[in-house]
Amino acid sequence: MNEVKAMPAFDEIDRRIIQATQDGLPLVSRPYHAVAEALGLSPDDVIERIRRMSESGAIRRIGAVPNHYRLGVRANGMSVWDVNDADIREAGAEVGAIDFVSHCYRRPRHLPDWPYNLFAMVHGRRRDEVEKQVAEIARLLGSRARCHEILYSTRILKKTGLRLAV
Amino acid sequence: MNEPDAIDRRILADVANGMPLVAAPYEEIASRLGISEDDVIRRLERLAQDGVIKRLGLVVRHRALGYKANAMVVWDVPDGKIDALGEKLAAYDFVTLCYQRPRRSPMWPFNLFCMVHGKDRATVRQQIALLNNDTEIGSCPTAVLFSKQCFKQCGARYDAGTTSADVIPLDPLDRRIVNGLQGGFPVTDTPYADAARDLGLSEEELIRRLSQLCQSGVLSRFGPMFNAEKLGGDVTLAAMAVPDDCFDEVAEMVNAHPEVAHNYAREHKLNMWFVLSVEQPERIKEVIAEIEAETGLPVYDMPKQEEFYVGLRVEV
Repeated sequence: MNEVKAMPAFDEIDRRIIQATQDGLPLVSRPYHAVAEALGLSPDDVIERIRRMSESGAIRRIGAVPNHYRLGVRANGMSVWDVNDADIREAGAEVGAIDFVSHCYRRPRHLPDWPYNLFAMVHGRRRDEVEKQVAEIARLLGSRARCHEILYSTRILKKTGLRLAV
Repeated sequence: MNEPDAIDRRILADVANGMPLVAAPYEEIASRLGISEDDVIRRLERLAQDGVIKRLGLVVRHRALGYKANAMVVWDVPDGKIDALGEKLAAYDFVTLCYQRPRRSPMWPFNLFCMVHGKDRATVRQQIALLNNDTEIGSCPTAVLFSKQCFKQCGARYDAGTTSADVIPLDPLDRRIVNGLQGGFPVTDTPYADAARDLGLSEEELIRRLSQLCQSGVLSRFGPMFNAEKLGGDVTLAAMAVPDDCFDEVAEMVNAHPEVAHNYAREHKLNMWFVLSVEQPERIKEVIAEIEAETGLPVYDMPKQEEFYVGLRVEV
């Protein structure tokens, strides 16, 4: 893992706030007050802690988590690439910079079954849209990629996000 | 053909588990759904005519009837001949299902599938030999897969709600909400009122629309997205090659782990892809070992080694 991990600056009270909000915020006028009340905390404390977790990156963002399928984005393709190890850094950064790529990671190969080490998510209303975008990635990578595939998702089997055990 | 409407769906969901064993089953269904018996009958007739319902009646468990040997026989036949050869196979009375399916090279070169059932393997092998007597079929590469264990057999069940493929139409205001609130939701005493002001609507209207968007599934949820890594935990992507006949069963086993944050079916030999999000980094290996033990299938761990880009927004 490349990322420098922040010190887990989160205590038992943060943890209870996470548990209380991981399914969503209460849809009431004063949601943080409602969380505070449920946990026996002061509203100011809850607000302060949520702000701190947002600043530290423990909360990526607060807002709407859309379901692609329901929005008509039906073709969700995970494009996977077998890129020369020597080129992967540079190639990954280039692919990650393309505006239609929503996620881009380097991951380990599992030879012989799985030769791919670069993953780039591409979305579209139809598969031909995805294929056009993947062709663009292929052009960009050129001979640095030996082969690639697109794995389309056909069903969401689960989508809950992080869950802290109670 | 008419698409099944909401009432059709409720009828399908109701009968999928079996017809009520009472003198007037349609009346029983009608009373459960609050519609007339005539309406239920008319709708079932239409669904049958349209082919939405293949048949209403007994679905036998062939294993329980002594048909213990069940083989899936597959061939790699030339694409141009598949229709003709498929029809030949389907004409045998011991062939219960016959399908064309896509090849998945290099692991899976076969494109023609059929199921053969018998009381024992010897009988089934004789039947398969009969199929391969046909010179054209017999000359194609083939494989026989006897089923070993029946994990699940319940037929297709229809969810009374919308299917995941259903697209919910959004009006311009919904769109503004979905686009405008994928982040940056205020952390204030009255955040909905504050966000509503920026979007040019009332607090009440925003709360009402957000509840609707969550209920209809346009939004998976509304609230904070946590980053397990920043909380001292870890995240990985894992993949499995799950046989079709036990796919839903395995999905249930995998999803039962609270550490599984997302799980997607994908078209590939590796057909199940899930994200593990754990509080204690060492749990990743443990959960993977648990899933391997429960399912008897290998799990490929694909942790990210480098993050090139993570976008968090979908524009609608």
